[in-house]
Amino acid sequence: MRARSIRGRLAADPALGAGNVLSTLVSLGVDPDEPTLTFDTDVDGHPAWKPLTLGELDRAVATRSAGLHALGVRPRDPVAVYGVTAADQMLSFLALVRLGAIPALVNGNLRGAVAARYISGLKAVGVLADAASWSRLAEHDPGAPLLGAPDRIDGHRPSDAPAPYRHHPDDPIAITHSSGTTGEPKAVTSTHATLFAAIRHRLSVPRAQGADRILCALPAAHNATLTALNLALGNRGEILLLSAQDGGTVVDAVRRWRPGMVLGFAVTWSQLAHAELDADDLESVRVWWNTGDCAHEAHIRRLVAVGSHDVATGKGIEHRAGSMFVDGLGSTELGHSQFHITHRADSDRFDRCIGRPHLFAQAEVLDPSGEPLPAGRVGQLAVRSPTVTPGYWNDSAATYRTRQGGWFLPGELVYRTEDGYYHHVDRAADAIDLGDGTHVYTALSEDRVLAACPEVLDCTVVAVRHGTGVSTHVLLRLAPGADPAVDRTEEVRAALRDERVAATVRRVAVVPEEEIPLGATGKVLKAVLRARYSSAEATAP
Amino acid sequence: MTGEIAEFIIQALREMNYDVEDLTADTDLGPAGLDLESLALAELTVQIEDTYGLRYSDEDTEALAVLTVGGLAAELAAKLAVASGDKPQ
Repeated sequence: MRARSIRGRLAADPALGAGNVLSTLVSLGVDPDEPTLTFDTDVDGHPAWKPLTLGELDRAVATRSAGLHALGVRPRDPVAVYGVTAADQMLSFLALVRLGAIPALVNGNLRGAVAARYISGLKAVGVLADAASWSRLAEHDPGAPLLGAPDRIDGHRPSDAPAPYRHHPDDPIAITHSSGTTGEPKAVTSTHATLFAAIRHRLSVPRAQGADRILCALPAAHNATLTALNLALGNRGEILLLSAQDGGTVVDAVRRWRPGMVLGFAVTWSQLAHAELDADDLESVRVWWNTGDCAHEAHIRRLVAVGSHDVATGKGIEHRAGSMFVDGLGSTELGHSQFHITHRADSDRFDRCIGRPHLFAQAEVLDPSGEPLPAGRVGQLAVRSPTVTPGYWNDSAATYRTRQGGWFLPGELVYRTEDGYYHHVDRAADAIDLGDGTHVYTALSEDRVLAACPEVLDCTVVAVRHGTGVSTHVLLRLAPGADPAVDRTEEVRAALRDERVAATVRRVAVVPEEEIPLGATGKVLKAVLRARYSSAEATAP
Repeated sequence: MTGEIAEFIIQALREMNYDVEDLTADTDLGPAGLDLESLALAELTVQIEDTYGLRYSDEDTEALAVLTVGGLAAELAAKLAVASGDKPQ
């Protein structure tokens, strides 16, 4: 069956969802010898970096399903997966959904105490973890027994697995966690339908350039990785899943595997932009695809300068130097990016532009009373979309707190331009109202500092309110060779482009990387920094 | 106007070596019908832009990709009418 016909058939199949893409491909008779999925670790004796064919993948999954079924795992059982490799996370996900169970993927970077508290709240029936990961959990009581290692398959055969579970669109197929702005992750439910709505859309439009060979540098336990996997399966393209997301690992993997598209979060682009990028190493990349928080202009500009892509012209298709960067805004709760904008080397629409809503999404900007705001006014982003989570697992209070008037409010501040493009300015929790109609928007400030100060490689802005006003702290990481002793306060104030915001800048400091607290997915924990600086303000003479 | 534009689209697809024999206004541009590659859709869009003096951004083409041949012709006719100051039919 040709790729073009299978995509259309999948998009039109009402029973297809995020829980049964693999078993559907097998039942449709897709060639089992097609190279499909590559891991960076060995799988059941199959070497790392060698693609698993569709048939080999199906057998690895069915063997794990047989083993889990023998252990007593049944439909609707939440099972936590705490592991550090992409293979352990993804094969456990596929094996558990094949049984109709509910995989709860836990990022292996979460500290044992945090992970145990999180798993305890899930009321899971058991935990799949390798020995080292389990030892980090066990001393903190995760409230669920160890079922075994994710790759424990001894004595089981694929043919012992029960028939693939038949999911209803509303059936939960995964619990994944947000990074948690305070460091405490929140458990987000995805269903057979919510985590497939965007994929169905993308299977029904032309396959994007580079999508035949996708390198996924997203954290393996994130629901965006589940979407990447299911999309690649449906597209009948190849995908490589990485177990680490740092810039060096990603550059090495691009050099070795030659992807057409690289998927990642903003933190990876930031690290890539710091690295010495060798154009020859990255020549295969046509598209960098960002999800989660939107990326910074300075980082995007560095990446679109490398790679290459095809362009349609009046004289046919031309292959050009430079890649494309697709930016957007998504989150675990949103289930998929809700916006998209394509940047190229000649792009000029920045200032945290996240583009237009995807066709499947409806967006609005609301004032505090829930009324829509006109173009140009900053307010809460509100989204209606088939990709949005039905809620937080075991936490109805948190679920309903995020809903207003039928909208889902992800807690992001945005404005819309007259021509329908949206710009993100900050997370609502991080912004501070100066009381005269002006606000300190920390994310927008970071973007402006990075764009205007070439010696600054990365920037974190935190604003705290104190008795007499607002203090803004600007923490910098500098390019190699830049002098850390130079006072950059005036350069930073000018970059902020607003005198009232600039006047709140209390400290501009070059700080070592380890001074910035990060969540499991690499996101800066600004609440932790605010608490640190608030107590410093309180004790200042 | 829509019929004339549809003829232009079909001719452009023929020149791009697509089989237009059984093509109707209801044929999808996407995988359920013509199954255009993203570059083929971009090529078709460039021809439309050059011929009719319209401009489509990367973000616009997502909305074109889900249309049928007839739907695309109607969308172009509406955009041309707006561009020339008329109300779309």
